[in-house]
Amino acid sequence: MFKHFRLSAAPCGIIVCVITLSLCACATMTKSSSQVQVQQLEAAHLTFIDHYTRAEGTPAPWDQASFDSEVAKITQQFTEAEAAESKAVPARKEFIKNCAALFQRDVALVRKNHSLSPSYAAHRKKQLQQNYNLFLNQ
Amino acid sequence: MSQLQDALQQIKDPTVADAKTQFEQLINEGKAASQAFIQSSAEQLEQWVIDVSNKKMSQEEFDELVSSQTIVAKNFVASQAVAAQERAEKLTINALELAATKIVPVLIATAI
Repeated sequence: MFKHFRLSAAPCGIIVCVITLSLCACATMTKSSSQVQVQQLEAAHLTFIDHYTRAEGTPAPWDQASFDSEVAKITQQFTEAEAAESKAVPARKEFIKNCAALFQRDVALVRKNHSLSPSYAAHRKKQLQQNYNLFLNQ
Repeated sequence: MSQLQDALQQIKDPTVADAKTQFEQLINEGKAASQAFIQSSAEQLEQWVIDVSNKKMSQEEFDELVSSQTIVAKNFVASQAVAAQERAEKLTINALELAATKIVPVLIATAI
């Protein structure tokens, strides 16, 4: 009896796994590559803010080379995302352009002050999430 | 008394009395709005003013948030139906301008 159960349970388990994986794959594929790219830009900008947020009372040591390299890498991501957007939907291109401008504003602020206050960082992250949600929830 | 009212009470300059009242009205109207974006914008702006008054954030950082929020709000206003655009603009962009030009400069000058 157990033998029969095991034999029939194994294919059932495989079928359940296959269905689950297929559903996950469908969910992933229905998200457009444009949306995924925009989410990556948001994540990169938020990570940048985290990186340059000073802990209370302790200014972080400044590393110009590391800063320049990080800025160049994220700027490249924005440039590629903007270039990848079809001219058929100008609003999306404009949105990414605006997001790149918001990132460059933070770059300028960090370049000048070498850090961001925890209060500013928290507000800025909330603001960026609100901005990206405008696009991602369309 | 709310934290915003506490912050605004620091401003004694009578020439900005009307601006203070108008700003408070815009914030309250924005917080009561049915659209999540307008509500959230009003709540954020209120908190920024409170943080500047408590010296948790510099004026430079405040101005940066306001300039950026104006860009974000313009995206939002453009996405609204024409009939709703004027109200959305009043409760987001106009409130931001009022805070940046009339309220916060005086608030910071008062705190020095």
